[in-house]
Amino acid sequence: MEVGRLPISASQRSKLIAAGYTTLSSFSSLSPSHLARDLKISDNEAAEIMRVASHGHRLDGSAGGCGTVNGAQTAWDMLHEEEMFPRITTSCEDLDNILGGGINCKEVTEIGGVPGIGKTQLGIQLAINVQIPVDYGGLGGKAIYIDTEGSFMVERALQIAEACIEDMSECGGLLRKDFQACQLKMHPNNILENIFYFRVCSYTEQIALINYLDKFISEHKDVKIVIVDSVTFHFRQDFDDMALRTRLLSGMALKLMKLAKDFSLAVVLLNQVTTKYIDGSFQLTLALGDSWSHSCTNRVILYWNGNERYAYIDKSPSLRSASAPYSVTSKGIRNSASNCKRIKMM
Amino acid sequence: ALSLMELRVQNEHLAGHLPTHMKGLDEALCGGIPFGVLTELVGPAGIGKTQFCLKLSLLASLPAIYGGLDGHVMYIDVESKFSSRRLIEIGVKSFPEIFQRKEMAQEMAGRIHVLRPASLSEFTESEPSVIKIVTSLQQIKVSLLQNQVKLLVIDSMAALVTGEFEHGAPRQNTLGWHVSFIKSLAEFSRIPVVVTNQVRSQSRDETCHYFFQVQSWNETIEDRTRHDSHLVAALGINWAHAVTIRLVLEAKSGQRFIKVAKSPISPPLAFPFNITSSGILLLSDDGIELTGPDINAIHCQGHNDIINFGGESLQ
Repeated sequence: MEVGRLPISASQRSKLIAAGYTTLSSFSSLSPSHLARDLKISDNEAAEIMRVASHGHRLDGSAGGCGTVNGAQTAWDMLHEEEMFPRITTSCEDLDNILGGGINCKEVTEIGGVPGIGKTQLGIQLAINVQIPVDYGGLGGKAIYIDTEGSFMVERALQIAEACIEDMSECGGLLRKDFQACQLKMHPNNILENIFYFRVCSYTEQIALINYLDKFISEHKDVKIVIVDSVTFHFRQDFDDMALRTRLLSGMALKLMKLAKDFSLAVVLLNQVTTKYIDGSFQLTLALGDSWSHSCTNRVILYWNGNERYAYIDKSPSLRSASAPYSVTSKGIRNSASNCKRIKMM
Repeated sequence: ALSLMELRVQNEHLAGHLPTHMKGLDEALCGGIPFGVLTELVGPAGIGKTQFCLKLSLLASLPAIYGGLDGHVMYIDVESKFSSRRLIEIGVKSFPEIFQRKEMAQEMAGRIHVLRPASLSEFTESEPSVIKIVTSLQQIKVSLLQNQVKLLVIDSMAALVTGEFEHGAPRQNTLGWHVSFIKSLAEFSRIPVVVTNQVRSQSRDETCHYFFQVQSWNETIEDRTRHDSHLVAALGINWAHAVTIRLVLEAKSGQRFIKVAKSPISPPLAFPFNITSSGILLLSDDGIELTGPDINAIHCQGHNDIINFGGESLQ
């Protein structure tokens, strides 16, 4: 329902529109204080606007009005919203299949693995895939890449961007042979331009940056993915006070979850591994400890199986545990070679 | 990210890479050893890590017209392996036109600063503590800025760290601090940093599997025999995560190989090489692509034949 139809004063309406709220659903799930801050009006006025809005909404008869508790959403609304957002593809079909289509927006996904398995590669691939235009099934958004280890190499990002554009032109050529208007105007440089790169050199910088992201993303509303590579690095060096570390980590996790929910973007955290003594033998687990493992919504572990790289969904509220092979090629993350052979034979 | 690339291409010499003059390796690494990140050389003793470092030091000191960085080199030689005679020999054999003139040789060699800490206690005389390492590394940072150092070589990292603490701080923590410091140093000054690492044998207890990976009984038996001849890089998994590029030097079936084991910009390639009077020579510029975790393994077969300069094994 349009803001223009609300029975509120003209100044309030103009403030709403100026702040970017053009439909009721855009602010119906906010708390009045949040709205008040955004519009720079008093809390009472904001509460009044929200009351009028929810009243109008109910009169509208739209299915599933806003929750009776301010700030809550009904599950039906959430289902609709989830379907609205396409997932971010990983360019590997098997991996997309076990992920239910790709990386989900509004959720925090943790991806971990041994060194050299392809975590940074996957991070770069996602930063590029989020920019796939909506016409090609992507989100057409921008990416934020937070590099804590210095493993982001621009040359590789350029290589993957070029391969992605090639794939898209091929795809476009096959599907829409006569669609001239959909000419691919993307250039690898444009793709690189849309990746906001931050380099942090200590854990305090990391925490400060994540606090700052809130403001940054409200200024750049088309950011759709935040990748942190890797979230562990600074927290593994020289931390004497483990309790402090746990507190800092959980605080950071909460902020990231809030970011994901508020701005409807995907948060991908890349993690390292460590060995742990369980049941009489050493096993590999993701670093940062047990309390951190609760902080992420989804968890994907990358590992070697024989000569192939596999991804395993370790924890997810909506996906079942499964493994899928993938490979890292000069074009980025792709289906593993053995699968390709099968297709060729057909 | 675009601005990052433009910055690097325009400002930095050779787009941010130090060419090693080994064509296959340079191609694999998009131009050479990259600036601003940590590159690790790991391999068993006598395989050629120090030779590689000597060659790189020489290359960095050469003027730009010959493909060098025209800068100073800081070489931290923990195990006293630096041989200036060998350095000059490599120089004379690889770039005869430069080194024929004696003053050029003197200038090139004069640009390489070798630091030889017996243990890091040489840097300061105070009591053993973390402060020692801090001051020594910070001294390095200062000299880095003052002397226009364009390459930092640490040979070897494992010896530097293990030679230190007899009591007190556990090794993992201090290593962590070193790593962060060196990496920020590399980034901040945009120079290549090359670090060598030792190997140790893999004990039977170590597995490399996750809880959800089921191992069949046959596999475990196979694994045990493999473990006996298997070497792993020293310094642990934390270090393995921290380095950006890992080059593994190994001996397999009597031939030396240099493998790009971990690199965000390269495919997993292995190149056979030999050590010659002019440094390291790749026998083939097209690397062999290795799939699977084998790229990370460090083999040591036929090693004794190679390093025993008995004559017949030198081809």
